[in-house]
Amino acid sequence: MSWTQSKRGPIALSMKTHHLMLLCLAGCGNMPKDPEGTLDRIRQEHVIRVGRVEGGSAADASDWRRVLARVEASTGAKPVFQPGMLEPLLLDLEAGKLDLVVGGRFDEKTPWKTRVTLGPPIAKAETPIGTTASHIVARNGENAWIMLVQREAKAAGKEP
Amino acid sequence: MRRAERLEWWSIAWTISVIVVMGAAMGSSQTMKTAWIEDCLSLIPPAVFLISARVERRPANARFPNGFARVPSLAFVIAATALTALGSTLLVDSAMSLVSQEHATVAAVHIFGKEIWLGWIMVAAQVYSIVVPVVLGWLKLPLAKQLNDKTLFTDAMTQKANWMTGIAGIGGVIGIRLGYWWADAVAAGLISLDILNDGIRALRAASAELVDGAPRALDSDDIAEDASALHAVLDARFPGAEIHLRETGRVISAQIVGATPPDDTLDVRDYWPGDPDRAWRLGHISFVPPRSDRGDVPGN
Repeated sequence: MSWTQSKRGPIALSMKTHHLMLLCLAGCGNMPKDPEGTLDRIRQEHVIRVGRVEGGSAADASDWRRVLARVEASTGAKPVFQPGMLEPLLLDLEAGKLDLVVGGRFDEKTPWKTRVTLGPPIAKAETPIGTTASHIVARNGENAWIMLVQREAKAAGKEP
Repeated sequence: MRRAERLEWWSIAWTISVIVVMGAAMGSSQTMKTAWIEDCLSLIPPAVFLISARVERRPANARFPNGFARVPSLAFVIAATALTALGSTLLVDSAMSLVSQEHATVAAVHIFGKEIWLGWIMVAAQVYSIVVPVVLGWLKLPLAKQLNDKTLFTDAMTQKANWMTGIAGIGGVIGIRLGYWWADAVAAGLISLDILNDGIRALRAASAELVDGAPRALDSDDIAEDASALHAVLDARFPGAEIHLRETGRVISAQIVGATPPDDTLDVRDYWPGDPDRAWRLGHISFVPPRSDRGDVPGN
C-alpha cells in the first residue's frame, strides 16, 4: 500500500479519525477485562486460589494478610491456600492454576517481573547483599484483577 | 531545498517530543515499547537527509573530483535500510508476542489522587504520536516530489509507518481493555508487513541507483516517467546511439554512446522534455564517440 497525497488527503484523515473514534467507543469504560476472566470467576465462585510461600516471616505474613482481607471484602470471596516453594508456585500462577502468590520476597532485578506481575512492595528489607521486598504476585495480563489487588494493597499500606 | 531542511529540523524536534511522551506512558507494555523503538528509528531518515544535504553542497576537490552529488543516493540506501529494519523488527516482535502468548499487564496509575487505567494514558500518548507524523508526512510528500528526493520520500513513508503503528497500538490497547490479549500483536503484525513492503521497495530502488540502473520512480521500482520521456527524446535526436541514463542523487545523467555532440557547446535544458521548471533534473549529458576498433564508424 503506498501513501500518496492525492489518494489519502483530508478525507483519509477524517476516515481515520472516524475509525479511531469508533475504536475508542468500543473500548471505553472504566475497567479493563481479564482475558482469562479471573475477577469474574472469583466473584462468581467466591474462591481465591492463593499460593502461600512456606517459611516466610511473621511480619510479612501480617502485611499480606491485611491486603488479602481487603481483597476478600472487596470480592466477597474466601482464599483457598496452596502452600509451597516460591518458584513452583509462580509456575502454577503463570499456568493459571493460582490467582495470587503471597509471602514471596524478590530482589529488585528479579527475572520473574516480566513473567508475572509483582504488586507494590508491601515490606522492604535491607540485607548485606541488597534490598528485597515482599510482593503480592498476580498472573500477567489479568488487568481488572491486578488493578483490584493493587488498589487494596495501596489502601492497606495507608491503614494505621 | 532550504524548506525541506527546515522541515527536517522540525521533524527531529517533534519526533523527540513523541519519544519523550511515549517513553513516559510506555509502562511494561511490549507494544508501546516497540512503538517507542520505532519512533527512535524514525529519527534516522531526517538526520541522514540533513547530513547528506550539507555534504552535497561541498565543492569538488582532489580527493572527490566528481563532487558529492551522489551523497543523496547513499542517504537513500541508509533510509531504506532503516525502514526495512523497522518493518522486520516489528514483524518478528509481534510474531514472538503471539507465539509466546504474552499477556500484557496494563494496570492503574494514580494521577492527582485519582486511579486511572494506564491504557488510557497510553492511548493519549499514541494519539499524540499519530498527529505529529501525519502532519509532517503531509508536509514532506509534496516537497519530496518537487525535489525528486528519495530520502525525503522514504522519510515521509517512515512517518506513515509511525502513524499506522500508532493506530495499531491504540487498537492493541483497546483490545487489552476488551480482554483480547492477542489484539495488539495481530494488529502490529499486519502493520509491520506493510512497513516491510515499503522498506523492501525503497531498498530495491536504492540498490538500482547504486549500481547505475535507470532512474526509478519515487514510490516504486518502476522506471521514472520523466526518465522514459528523456530516453525517447534522446533516442530520436541521436538515432543509432545507445542511451544510458542513470540517477545521481536527485539528478539524471545521460551518456550517449556512439554519437558526437552536435555543437561545440550544448545546453542540457534543450534536451529536457516536458516542464522546463524541472529541467534541473537533467544534470549533464556526456558523449562517447563511435569507436573505430569496434566497427562503430562506417567504412572501417
